[in-house]
Amino acid sequence: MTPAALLAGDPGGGAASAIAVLLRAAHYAGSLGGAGLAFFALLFGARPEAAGDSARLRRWTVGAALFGLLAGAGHLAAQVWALTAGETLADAEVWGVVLLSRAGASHAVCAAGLLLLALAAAARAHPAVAAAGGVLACASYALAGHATEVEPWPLGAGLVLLHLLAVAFWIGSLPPLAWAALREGAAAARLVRDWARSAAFAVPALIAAGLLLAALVGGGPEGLLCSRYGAALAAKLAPVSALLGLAAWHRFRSTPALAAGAPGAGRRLSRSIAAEAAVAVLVLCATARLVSTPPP
Amino acid sequence: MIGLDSCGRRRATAAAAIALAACGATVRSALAHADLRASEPAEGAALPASPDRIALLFTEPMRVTSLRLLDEAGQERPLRREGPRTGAAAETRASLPGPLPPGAYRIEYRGLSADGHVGGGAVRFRVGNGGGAR
Repeated sequence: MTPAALLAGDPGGGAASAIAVLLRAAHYAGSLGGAGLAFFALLFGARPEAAGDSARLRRWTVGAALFGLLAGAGHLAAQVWALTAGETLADAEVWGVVLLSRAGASHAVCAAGLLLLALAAAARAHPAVAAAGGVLACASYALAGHATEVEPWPLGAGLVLLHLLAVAFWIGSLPPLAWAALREGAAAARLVRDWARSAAFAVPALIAAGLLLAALVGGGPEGLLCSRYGAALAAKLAPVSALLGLAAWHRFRSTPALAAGAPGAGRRLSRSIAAEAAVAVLVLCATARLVSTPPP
Repeated sequence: MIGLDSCGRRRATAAAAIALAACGATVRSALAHADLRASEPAEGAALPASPDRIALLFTEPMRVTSLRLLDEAGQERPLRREGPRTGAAAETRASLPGPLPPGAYRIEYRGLSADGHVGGGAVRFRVGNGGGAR
C-alpha cells in the first residue's frame, strides 16, 4: 500500500484524497487551536498570572485563525481536485457542487467564526467576542459529516459540539500553559493547577462524547471491529491514549513539581507540553482520516 | 441525590439526559454515503460484444463529478453522459459513441455523497473472448 493510499480516507482516493486529509487536519489545527486560544484568554487571560502573555495570546489567536482560514480554503480546493480525479482545480461546475454541499456550508460557517475570532483578537475586543467566534467555528463541524446522520439530529450535533469545544480548550491552552511553565514560580504553578481543574471536567466530557459518537456512527462493536472505519478509529485511539498518558503525567507529576519549586520543573513541563502538542497534531491527522472514511 | 453537591447533581442529570437520548438514537441507513450497489456492465463481467451504454447504481444519491472509461493501456475512451453532471442521483448513465474493441476496460468514478464526503471507485469488465476483466 502506498503512503497516499494509507492516508486517504476513501478507498481508491489516491494522492488527491491524501492531500485533502492533510489539509483537513491543518484546518482542524487552525480553527480548533484558534478557538481554544480564545477560550483560554476568556477563562484565564484576565488573571495576573497570565497578564504578561496577553499580547502574545492575541497574536497567536489571529495567526491560528488565519491559518485555519487558509487551510480551509485549501481543503475545499483539494476536494475539487479529488472530485475531478486529480485532473483540474479550475472546474467551476465542481466548485459549485462543493460550495453548495453540506461541507461547503460547514466551511462557510467556520470561516465566519474564524474571521470573528481574528478580528476580535486583533481589535482587542472583549475576549467573549473572540470566544463566540471560536464556538461558531466548533459548531460548524456539526453541519457536515457522519454525525449529521444520527437521529435525533440535535444529539449528534450536540455531541460533536461538546467534543470539539473540549478539544479546542485542550489544544488551544497548550501554548499559554507552556509559556507559563517557562516562567516557573508559584504564580505559574497556580495557573497550571487551576487550568488542570477545568480540564478535569472537559476531558471526561470529550472522551464520553467521542466514544458515543464513534459507537453511533460505527454501528456498535461488530461494525467497528471488521471495517476500514474501525481500523481508522483504532489509528486515532493510539495517539489519543498517548495524549491522555502525557496529560496524566503533567497533572500528577509535573504540576506538583512546579508548585514545589523543583529546579528545572518549569522547563521540563514546557518541553513536555510541546511533546503533547506534537501528539495532538497526530491525533488531528488521524481524525481527519477517520472522518474521510466511509462508516460500515 | 445522596453524596452529590448541586454541581454534581447537574452533571449527573446532564449525563443521564444524554444517555437516555442516546438509547433512542439511531443512524440513518448507510449514513448518506453513496456506495455502488450495482453496475452495467457488472464488476468482472466478460461481455461477448461491446456494450452501448454504461450505468452505475448507488445506494444513495451521489453527484458523480468524474466518470471515465479507460482501456487496458490506460487511454480514456469517449463517453456521453446522460443527465447533468452535478445533479444528485442514485443512478448515473452514459452512452458509448462507438463500439469498444475487444479488451479489458475500467470505469472510474468520483463523486460527492449527501453528507459532503468525496468517494469513488472502479468497475472492471472485458469485451470479447479471452479471460476475465483486468
